[in-house]
Amino acid sequence: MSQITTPLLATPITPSSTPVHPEPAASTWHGLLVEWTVEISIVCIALAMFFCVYRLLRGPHLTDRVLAVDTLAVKLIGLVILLMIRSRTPWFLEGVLVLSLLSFAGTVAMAQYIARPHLAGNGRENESPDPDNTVPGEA
Amino acid sequence: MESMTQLMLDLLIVGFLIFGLFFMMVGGLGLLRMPDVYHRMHAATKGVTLGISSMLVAAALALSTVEASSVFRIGTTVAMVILFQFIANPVGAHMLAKAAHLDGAPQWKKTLSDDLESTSPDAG
Repeated sequence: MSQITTPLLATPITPSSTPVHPEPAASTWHGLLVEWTVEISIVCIALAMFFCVYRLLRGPHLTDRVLAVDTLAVKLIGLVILLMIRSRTPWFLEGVLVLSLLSFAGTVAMAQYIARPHLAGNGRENESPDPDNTVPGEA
Repeated sequence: MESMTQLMLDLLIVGFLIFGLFFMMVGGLGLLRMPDVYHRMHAATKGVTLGISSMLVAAALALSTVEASSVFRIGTTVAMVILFQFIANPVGAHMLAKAAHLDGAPQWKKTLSDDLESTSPDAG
C-alpha cells in the first residue's frame, strides 16, 4: 500500500516533467514490433467499425441494424484490449467482461422484440405487427 | 536467455494480434459487402468471435509479461470472456436469425432453398 497508482495511469505517478502517455518506448526491435502492431490494429479496427456504422445507418432490415450494433460492441471490446496492451494495464479486463455481457443482453432483447409479435401465432393476419397489442400467451 | 524468452513472447503476441485482426476485418467486410441479413450474420458472427478470442489471448500474453503477480487473475478473466463469447455469439446470432426469418427479412435472390419457408409471414 505504499505505492499509489490511479487506474488510468500505467506507471506510478511521477514528477510532472515526464509525459503521462506514451509509455517509455520499447528498447528491443521485437518490443517495437509489438507496439507498431498495436497501433496498426487500432486503425484497422476503427476502419471495421466504420463498416459497421455504415450497415447500422443503411441496413435495409431491422435485424441488420441489430447485427451491426452487436458487431460494433465486439469491435469495441477489441479496442479496449488494444488499449490494455498499449498502456500495459490489466485493469480493463472486467470492463471487457461487462461489455460482452451487455452486448449479448442487448442482442437477445432486440431479437425478442423483433420476433415477439410473430410468436403469438397471429403474425399472418397482422402483416405490420404492433408489439404493444399482441401478448404471447393470451392469443 | 531472458531476452530470448521475451523475443518468443513478443513474436507470439504479434502473431495472435495479426490473426485476430484479420478475422475482425473479415467480419467487418462481410457485414459491409454480403448480400442479405443471413449472409451478413454468417460472416460477422464467426469472424468476430474468432478474432476477439485471438486478441484476448494476445492481451493475456502481453499483460502477463508486465504484471507477473496477477497472471492467474488475468488468465481466468480472459478464459471467462473467451468462453462467454463462444457461447453468447452463436446464441445471439441464432436468435437474431430466427427473428429475421419470422419478420420476413428479404433474402438474397440467389438463395437456393429455405427450409423454414412455411413459417415466414408472407408464405401464404
